[in-house]
Amino acid sequence: MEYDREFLTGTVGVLLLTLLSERAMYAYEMVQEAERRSAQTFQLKEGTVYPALHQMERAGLLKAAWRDSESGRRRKYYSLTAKGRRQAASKRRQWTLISAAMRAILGDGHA
Amino acid sequence: MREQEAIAALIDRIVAGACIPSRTARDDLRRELWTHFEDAGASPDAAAYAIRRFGDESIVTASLRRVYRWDYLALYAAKIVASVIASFAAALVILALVNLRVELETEVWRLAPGFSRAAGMSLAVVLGLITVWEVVRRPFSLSRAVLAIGAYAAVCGLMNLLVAHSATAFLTAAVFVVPGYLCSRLSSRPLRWLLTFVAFAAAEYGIHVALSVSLPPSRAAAAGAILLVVWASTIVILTYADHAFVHLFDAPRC
Repeated sequence: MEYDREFLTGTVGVLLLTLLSERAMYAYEMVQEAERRSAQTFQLKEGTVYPALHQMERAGLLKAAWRDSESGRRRKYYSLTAKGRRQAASKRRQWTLISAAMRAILGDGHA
Repeated sequence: MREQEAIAALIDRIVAGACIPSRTARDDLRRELWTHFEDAGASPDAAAYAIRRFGDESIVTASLRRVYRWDYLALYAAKIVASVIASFAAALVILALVNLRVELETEVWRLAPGFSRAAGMSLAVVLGLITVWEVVRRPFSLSRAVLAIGAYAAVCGLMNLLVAHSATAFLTAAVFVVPGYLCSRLSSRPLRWLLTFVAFAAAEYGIHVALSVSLPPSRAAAAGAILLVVWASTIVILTYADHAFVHLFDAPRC
């Protein structure tokens, strides 16, 4: 289904933090994982992920390290710092609150 | 093969446009983007598709530039401060050499009585030149121009609080800086320096006439020549500082 991409603005950070709260990942893996879990609804412009990751790394939410992936290729893996974990939990709570409020407004039929 | 070249060019443009001051961070981003396109697929079709999926190059570049903006601004400010300090130091050395006198009876080296006035005026001219240098820098930026003029006015106001009537030196400096800058736009180097010298000598003479202070044309010419040397040293320092800054980012557009 086509949707207004403005809905995604501001959600990239939540999305990345949530994915990284499960395990360390590299950028391309995060994009693929978001697509897979959203049943292809979230088709991010892949380039937009890098500024978001670098911003969060500089803010001390993430740390990055180059290491071998399962395929043997070197990848830059991102993982959450303690500050990042707190931020991920906070963003997740906020998002749950907002989505519950949206469901309440839109009604069960639109949930 | 063409797709690989297109990817390489795309990565180079993004990394250069991001204006990242650290070479290590630039190499890291370049490597990270390469691995992204390796993951996206090696076949020509997959590469073309990956480029499309990557998104608008200008948006990605601008977003990365915003991430590193504070580093850029801090280094830019450091460049200006270093330029001001180096230009002031060079101007003071030139003026000290010109104004150094030896008292024959006591064999003591002293600075000529007019040194402090000449030094104050020269430093105001140096500051004025640095301001104009930033205002007219290409590509023109209104915010940078306003900031440069505002900084000049702030220093002028501050100095006037610390040293009574020193604002006059800053206003007078504009009389030298404006014609000096206009002359510096001339393409012929000998003509440029000759006209700058004439403009400075004429300004020296004119200012003294306006203040009803007598100044022989020969002394006006000497003062103009000294100011020309100070002016030239400042331009050399600013040019080197600009080159060093561009080298730091490895990208002329930063």
